[in-house]
Amino acid sequence: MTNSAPAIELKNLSKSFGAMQALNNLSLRIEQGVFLTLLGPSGCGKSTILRLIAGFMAPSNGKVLVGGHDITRTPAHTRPVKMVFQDYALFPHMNIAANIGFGCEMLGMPRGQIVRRCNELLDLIRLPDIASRYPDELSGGQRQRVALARALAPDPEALLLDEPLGALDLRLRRQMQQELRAIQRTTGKTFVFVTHDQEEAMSMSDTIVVMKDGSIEQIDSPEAIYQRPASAFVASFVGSANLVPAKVRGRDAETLTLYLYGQEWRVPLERVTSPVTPDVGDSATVVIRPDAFHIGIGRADIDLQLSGHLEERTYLGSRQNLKLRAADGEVAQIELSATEVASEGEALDVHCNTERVAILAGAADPI
Amino acid sequence: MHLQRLVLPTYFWLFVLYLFTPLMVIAVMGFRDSNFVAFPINKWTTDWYHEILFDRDIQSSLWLSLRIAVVSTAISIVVGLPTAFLVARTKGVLRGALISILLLPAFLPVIVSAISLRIFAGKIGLETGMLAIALGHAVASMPFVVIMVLTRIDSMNRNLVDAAQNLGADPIIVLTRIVLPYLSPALFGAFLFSMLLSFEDFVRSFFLGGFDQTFPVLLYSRLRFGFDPGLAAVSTIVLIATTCLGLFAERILRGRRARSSQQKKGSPTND
Repeated sequence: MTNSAPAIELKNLSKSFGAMQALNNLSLRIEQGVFLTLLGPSGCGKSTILRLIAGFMAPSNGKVLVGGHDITRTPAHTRPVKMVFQDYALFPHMNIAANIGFGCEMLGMPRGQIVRRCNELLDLIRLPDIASRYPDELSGGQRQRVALARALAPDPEALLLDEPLGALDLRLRRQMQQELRAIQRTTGKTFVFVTHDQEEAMSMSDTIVVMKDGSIEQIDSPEAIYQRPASAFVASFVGSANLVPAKVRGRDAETLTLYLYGQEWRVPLERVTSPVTPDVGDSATVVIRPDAFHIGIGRADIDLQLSGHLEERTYLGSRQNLKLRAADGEVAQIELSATEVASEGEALDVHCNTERVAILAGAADPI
Repeated sequence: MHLQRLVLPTYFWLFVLYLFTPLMVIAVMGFRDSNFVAFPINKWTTDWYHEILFDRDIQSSLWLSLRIAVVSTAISIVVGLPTAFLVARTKGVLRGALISILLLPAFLPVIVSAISLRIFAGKIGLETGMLAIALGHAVASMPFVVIMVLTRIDSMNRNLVDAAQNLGADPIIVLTRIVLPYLSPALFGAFLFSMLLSFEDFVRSFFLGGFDQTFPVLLYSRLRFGFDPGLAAVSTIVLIATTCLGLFAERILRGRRARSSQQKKGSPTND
């Protein structure tokens, strides 16, 4: 594609099923060649977006554009986007070559060209010898790759992947994540990937769109989503986090003075990641990742210092999870390397740097 | 302990004996060299078989029965398939209601169904004969066709249709390339079942029949002149033919399933 229009653009998209609002006035630009992940809990509307782009259903309101063309009213079978289904949906009565060639056949491609294209894709998914086999003769991982090849064969504008790794076991899943990412890089195709697994989203995506209740909570790179969550929902959905309630005691041009864990702490204003910056007297929520804590006494002028006793320790092999009861009665979840010595019931000093926290305006809803 | 384990098998085989003895008697009688059916058999012959194979009336009645079976099966599938599609996409209470309405003819006493069909045919001016019988048989087999096809549609992964559409198949191609091939085992089963149902039907054929007699009706009319070993012979031939057909169908249908389940077992679920 030579034009600079985004691969896919959603404009003010809404979809309701009866009284249930699945998507709420949602807009999104998906640039050419990116690996974009729609991440959210089940029922957040992420799969609905894919089905609307594919044309399996019509939006209640709004537009779907592919390559700059409005396809909102285009029937599903003429849309230039292809889908990979969670259950693969391979045609059971056709062999693998016929499955992969189906899309090209529908485009009216000549026989010889279809065979060549099919072989190309079998090489891409590193299964060159299965052309004449049937779907029920393949393993889960092989079927997954064939489904991918089938969707790629007609050279689509974008690929829609609806939790395609959901049915695989953990080990195979990790392997397929890398493979999928590699194939996306080789082909340079736009991938729109749907998952509820935050780890999967983090490890594969260029861009993550975190969704909740039919709306977008945050669009960012995996690093930004993890380190600068825009809401308490994002902070707790992506990775684990201490959501510490705090009060704003002071604010100047560069810093915010917060009261938390029974003490005051000065944090740079740029650590505020919510759209609104809290003012003096407001409630705030401090997001601290469990791995942001370190054992010992930190720098008094910069770091948050916590003293308390260790209530619980969970050994995880290379890491350990600790539950610290601070002096003011609040609890902090801490993740440390397992080599650090810590035993239950003992007093423990930990500290955390301002660089590793995010400040959100308002009190966090208990999740 | 040992004796207890023998109770069920004994019970089963006694029942099998009860089931098949009459059929065995018929089969044996066809070889009796006499004009009457009776024991003991002192002289054996294959004349009866020879005779009925060249019996014009029997030949033409078999031919008529076959044509009726084909026509009625065609009608019940052509009507039953779209009906099954309709029921499949209907949800909730209405679906149950539709299924009940469709199944009603199957639970109606055959004699009631036959008489009402006869009266109806008379009212609309449909002459008794082949077409009337075929229509009557179609009414009888349609419920089974719908249920067999519906069960298969319900087991179909809805994503297969979406996937085909997504890959560029219009509704006609989705039907011919994806849906019908998927339904083919059910259609094959429905076809055979409907054929057999039509072929063996006596009551409807009797009431709706014209001058030409279907095979069961002919057998019945012959019986009124006494049961000779010829009837035993022809019954045996039909019995063997339908059994072979049934076994063949079962083999095809089970062969498919065995193939796919074996391969599932043979290959690891993950690589």
